[in-house]
Amino acid sequence: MRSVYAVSGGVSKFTKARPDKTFQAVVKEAYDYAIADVGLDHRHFIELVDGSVASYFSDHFSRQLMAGIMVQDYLGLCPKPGHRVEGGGATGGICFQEAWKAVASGYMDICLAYGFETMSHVATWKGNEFIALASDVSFDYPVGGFYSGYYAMMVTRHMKEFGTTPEQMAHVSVKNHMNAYHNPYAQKRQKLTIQDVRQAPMVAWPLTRLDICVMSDGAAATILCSEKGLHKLEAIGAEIPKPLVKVSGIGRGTDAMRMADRPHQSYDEFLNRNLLPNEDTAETRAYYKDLWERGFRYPGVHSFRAGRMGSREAYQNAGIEDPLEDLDFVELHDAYTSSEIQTYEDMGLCRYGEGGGFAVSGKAFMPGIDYGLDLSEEPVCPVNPSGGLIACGHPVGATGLMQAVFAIWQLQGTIDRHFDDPTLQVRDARRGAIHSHAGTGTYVTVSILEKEA
Amino acid sequence: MTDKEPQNKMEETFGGYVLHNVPFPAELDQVALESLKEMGPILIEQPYNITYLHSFGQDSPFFAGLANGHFLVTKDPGSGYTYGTPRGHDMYSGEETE
Repeated sequence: MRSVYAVSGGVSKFTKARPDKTFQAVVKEAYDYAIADVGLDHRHFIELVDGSVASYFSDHFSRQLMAGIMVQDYLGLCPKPGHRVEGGGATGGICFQEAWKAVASGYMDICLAYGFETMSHVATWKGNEFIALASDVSFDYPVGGFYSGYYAMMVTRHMKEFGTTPEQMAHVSVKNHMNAYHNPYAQKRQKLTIQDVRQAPMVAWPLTRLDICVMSDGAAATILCSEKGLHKLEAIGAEIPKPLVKVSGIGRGTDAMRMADRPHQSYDEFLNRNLLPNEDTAETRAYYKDLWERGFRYPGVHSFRAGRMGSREAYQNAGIEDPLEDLDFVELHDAYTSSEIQTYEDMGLCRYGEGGGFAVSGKAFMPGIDYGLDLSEEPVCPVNPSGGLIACGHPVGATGLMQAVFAIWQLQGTIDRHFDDPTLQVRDARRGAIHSHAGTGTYVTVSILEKEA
Repeated sequence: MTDKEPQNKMEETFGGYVLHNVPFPAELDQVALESLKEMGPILIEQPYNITYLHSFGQDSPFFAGLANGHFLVTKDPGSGYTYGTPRGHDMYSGEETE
């Protein structure tokens, strides 16, 4: 595999509705920003780019089949190669990885990954119904039919199993909304308290409206290239920030569509298949033995096996042994405050069962921001410094690429220039992870980006 | 493998929710359980409605023109390349069209 560099990106302002433009023109905003940011214009870039990968989640939302080719056409990319990918909420993350594969394999030297979603064309309740079609229409949908209900069920189990509390979840909401206060691309930039979150209208107990991401219209685009692609771009005047940002590892996991089908592993299988290198200690084995004896089974409905598999694979490829220490930030798929807590555990930022405590510890917060919370520990690895899905919004096909764009900017050290505010710049950011998650944990992608030494 | 021909033609109906074919043996003995593999599929017929709020976005003037008897075209300001379709940006220059 060849080295793959993430050289640039762009994001449209995420918002409730963009009736002013069609989806193609919204993607063009993100694309124009990405090429202009490295000093290129369309005429020069289009001569060199080898092809693209398109990302959007739902044909129902767009009510337009073949929408990917319509963007390809609008951007002027025809007749170059391109295809659309789809994998629920992880569509953007899958798109990023497919573009990575195109470059790593030698198929392309320069690949554009773009994604969008227009969720405003139907009423919110109908949008929720469309999203629920990403559950088994014969089995889950007739008795649930509502994703917030599915996640409420999962976190209720997490609470019973590990003692996680709604107030711990509310810490995630306060953190992510406050981070987004400094991110002009975010849809919801709010200073909240724990009480605000808990007193917000209840959607599905214990999830209130401030525990749940919102639907959005938006687009994002990134440019990935090989070393040869870099030289080609620089030869036509591209000014690519140095040190370069490299995609040093990708990983992807899957799980059964119906949570009820996910088999429990034996204790030995659980250890053999899931322990991360830093967890393989006598102390952690004893911790899990104790959990096991108290009834913990894996994956259960409290944990996402696909998230752990994707993380493990990505960490292995990137040489990460202790994610909390080795990563400087994480942009993860917080469709719900509860799923951010579940994902802390899947990604190994803490052990299974410790997510609630981790959420309130302060380790995942940004330094230098007053959250109005009493946090016992210093920040170690900020999680969702951008504000995540909960505050940025979740235009599904764009979301995983939005994470990639923010990660590129973090590692280039250019947050101030893009946000016109330096607050969210992670100091000396060297390595970050982006995590994209589908359904009830059916596809999960984890990609590691790092600044070259 | 069953030698029964699957039923693949149905009378069309115009009602609301219609549930077809839910036969089930009265006694669940071994023979009855084995016979379930031969059971015809449950079919649910249901109405499905969606109200879309479709926007013509930046293409709106083109269609407003058509509705009022005018055929507008879009043109790249630099090259003068002209499209007989509503196209917000030129595919060659990437510039916003006139």
